[in-house]
Amino acid sequence: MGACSLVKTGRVSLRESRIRILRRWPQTPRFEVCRFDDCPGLSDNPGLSDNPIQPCIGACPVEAIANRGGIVLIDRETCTACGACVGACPFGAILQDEEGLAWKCDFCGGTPACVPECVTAALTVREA
Amino acid sequence: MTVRFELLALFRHKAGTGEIELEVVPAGGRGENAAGIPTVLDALRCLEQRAEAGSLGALEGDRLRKGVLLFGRSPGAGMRRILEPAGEPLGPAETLVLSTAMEGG
Amino acid sequence: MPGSMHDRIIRIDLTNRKVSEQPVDEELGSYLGGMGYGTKILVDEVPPGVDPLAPENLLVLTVGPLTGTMAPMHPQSCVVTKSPLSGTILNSYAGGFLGAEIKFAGIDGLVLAGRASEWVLLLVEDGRVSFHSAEAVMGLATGETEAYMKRLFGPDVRTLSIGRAGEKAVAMASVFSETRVFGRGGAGAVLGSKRVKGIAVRGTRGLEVARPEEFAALVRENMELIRKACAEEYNLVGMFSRVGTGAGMGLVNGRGGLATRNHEYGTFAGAAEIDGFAYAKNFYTRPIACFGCPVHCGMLHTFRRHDGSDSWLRGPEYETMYSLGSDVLNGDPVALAEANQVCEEYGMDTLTAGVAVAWALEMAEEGLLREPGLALSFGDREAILGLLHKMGEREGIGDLLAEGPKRAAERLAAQAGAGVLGRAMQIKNSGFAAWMPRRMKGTGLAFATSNRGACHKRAPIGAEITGQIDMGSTEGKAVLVKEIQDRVNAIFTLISCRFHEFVTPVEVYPRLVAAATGRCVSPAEFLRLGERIWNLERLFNLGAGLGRADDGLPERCYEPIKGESSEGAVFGREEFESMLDEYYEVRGWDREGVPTEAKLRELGLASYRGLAGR
Repeated sequence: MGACSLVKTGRVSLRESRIRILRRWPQTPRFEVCRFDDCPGLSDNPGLSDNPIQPCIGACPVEAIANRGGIVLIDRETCTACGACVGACPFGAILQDEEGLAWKCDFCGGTPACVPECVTAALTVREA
Repeated sequence: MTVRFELLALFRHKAGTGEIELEVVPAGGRGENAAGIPTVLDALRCLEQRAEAGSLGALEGDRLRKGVLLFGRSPGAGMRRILEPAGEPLGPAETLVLSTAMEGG
Repeated sequence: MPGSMHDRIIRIDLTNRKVSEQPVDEELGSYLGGMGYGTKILVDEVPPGVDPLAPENLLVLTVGPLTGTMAPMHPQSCVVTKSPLSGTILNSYAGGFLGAEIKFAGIDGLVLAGRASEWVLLLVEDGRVSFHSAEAVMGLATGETEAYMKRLFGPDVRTLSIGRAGEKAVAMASVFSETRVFGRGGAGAVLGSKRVKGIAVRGTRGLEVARPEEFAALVRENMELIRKACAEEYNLVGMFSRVGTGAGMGLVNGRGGLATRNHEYGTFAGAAEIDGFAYAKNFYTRPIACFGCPVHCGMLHTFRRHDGSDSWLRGPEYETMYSLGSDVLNGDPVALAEANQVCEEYGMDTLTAGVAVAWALEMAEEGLLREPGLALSFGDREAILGLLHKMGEREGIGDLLAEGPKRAAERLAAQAGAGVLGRAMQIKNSGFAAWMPRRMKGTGLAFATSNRGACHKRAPIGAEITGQIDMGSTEGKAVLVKEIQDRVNAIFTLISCRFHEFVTPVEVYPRLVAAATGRCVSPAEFLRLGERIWNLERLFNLGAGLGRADDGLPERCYEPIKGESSEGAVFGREEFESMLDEYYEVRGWDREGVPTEAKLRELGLASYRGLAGR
């Protein structure tokens, strides 16, 4: 979480981390992060895409979210801060900032900063 | 020559026992000194061969692996730390104590 | 210039429910943070003779320049206060996530002053403080109190709490924080005296460092160092990461240094059943980490209690494997875990509580103490758990033991004679940590001269137990102990986990501080800061009425340890006193242990001379 926020905002700022880990010992922790193509809510939506899409994409009323080559990205210019995607995400991976604009993990453009930092290798990147 | 090994900490758990008694024969070559008395290194090599749950990994070549602590205990003489197993001849009725590191906590 | 300290400390006047800013001037800033800030604030404001449970005592909770950054192994926050257990100045630490949250809240710490008129829970949100009634959680265990605070304030807050022991001013009451503990010295009783049942912190801000690229490079280097250490199979910190702090018990036992049966013996037959490897094999399910720590020495374990119910515990730690294990002849790992849990629920230090129990059991077996309805003997699970419960409740004999081993023994001595005192294994009323002064003489000196009493954090344990230096000799130990005390004080300003310094050379710390804060401190100055703080603590303790007599060992230390492996290890009286003389000399103190004028001037502490009251 520290590494993510550091890379994305220049500060250690856990609230701004795109991956959030919630401890709840003795149960295993809960992870809030986008899993991209490993999303349980994938469904067809021929109107929006030839490929199956994540529920956040389907929920967005202004088509601000798109699946670009497996990476789900939010266009903050188009986002109207309605919050529909927040509720649609099964992992709680999307949050809204002070202005209400949605933000989430963008996979760091291909090389996620968090993965090598995890000392127990609990985070991995898998080809879908 | 009979040698008694006392295994402590991680070594005890790896070997599944706290005590092992061995017959040590000088290996010849590096391990042997002029009088033909086996050295501590000979004893460790025998131990490695005997260890129950696979190799104990106490040795790296002829030296102790990093983090491994070796002591020799002779009756009436207390415990002394052994840093160079190759150069130490085995004393009579000696117990060798093998352990991993410790600090405060 | 941005930096990792906010230069902002919040002062909470509990009496008048007023919140203000504690000034952070250049002089305070030179103490870096953590233990430095806490000590400076306390000695500046609290008269050393104050009753620790009076409103005039302060509880100072601080973090340091590396807290909340990506510097690995710096999760701690620090409590400084006057201890109701030892009557000394106290510094106590807990890991977990509280420290980072305090930093993210935009503050470097809190000063709690006065006493609330009603029991409160405090919420600190990004530097704003609000007071809430604690009525709903009075009498509840620490875990329950913290769960309540999360329900009330939100699941993202980080919390600390006291249990019934803190509410009842048990002298060894501790402060809990989400499975980690400010264990030693009775800080829980101080919070209780202020009628603060718990504190929740929410920090939503980010943290910057002064020189981000330089800092990132240092962090990467340090992480490499730690990872390499952990990857070595037999590296101690690596073993901590795999089986927790209980990794070394076998060696201590093998060398006859594991305190057994109230420090009568140095070897425990049941040690292999209760060490870290045994728990790892039979109980541990997963390691859990503190903020930003790759070592994850916290071992979670699930177990079935003797009553058949399922439970879980983070721990036990090595120190508890001694105090509630070998020292009370408890070779049952389940009973040990249960005893640890009782201490957690009540919020009590497992060390001093265990030492009090061990003493009581020895007295009981001699017919000098009894408790109706409780058969007291060593190794008896009911006895151990029963005594701990009674201590937490201050019931029956527990009311006596809750005063701490020294005071309890003094009370008993009034009827049973002075002989009972020598068997209370304490220094300054603080129970011995897991080490035997007779066996490891440098560690014995560290125990005796510790400013908070019988503390192992600043002792040459590794060097002595591994045979690097002769543990039976007093030669050279005075210098060694001073060096460790100064060095650890220095790193506790940052605030480093004790284990960080096991793998990191001391030169690295000033570099990390410089990159984090922009403040330049040379390695010599850094260690000098540690010495300065040590002397401030000493002056406070002298002012509180302690002296050379309190830097002494209990009588039992002048009798040989029983059992072959301990080789009859014993302290000679002359031997100890001349080592203590040497220590005072090395410290630049007079024969009574009072810092000389010259020493104070050297450390820039001449203005504090009056603090000692002599």
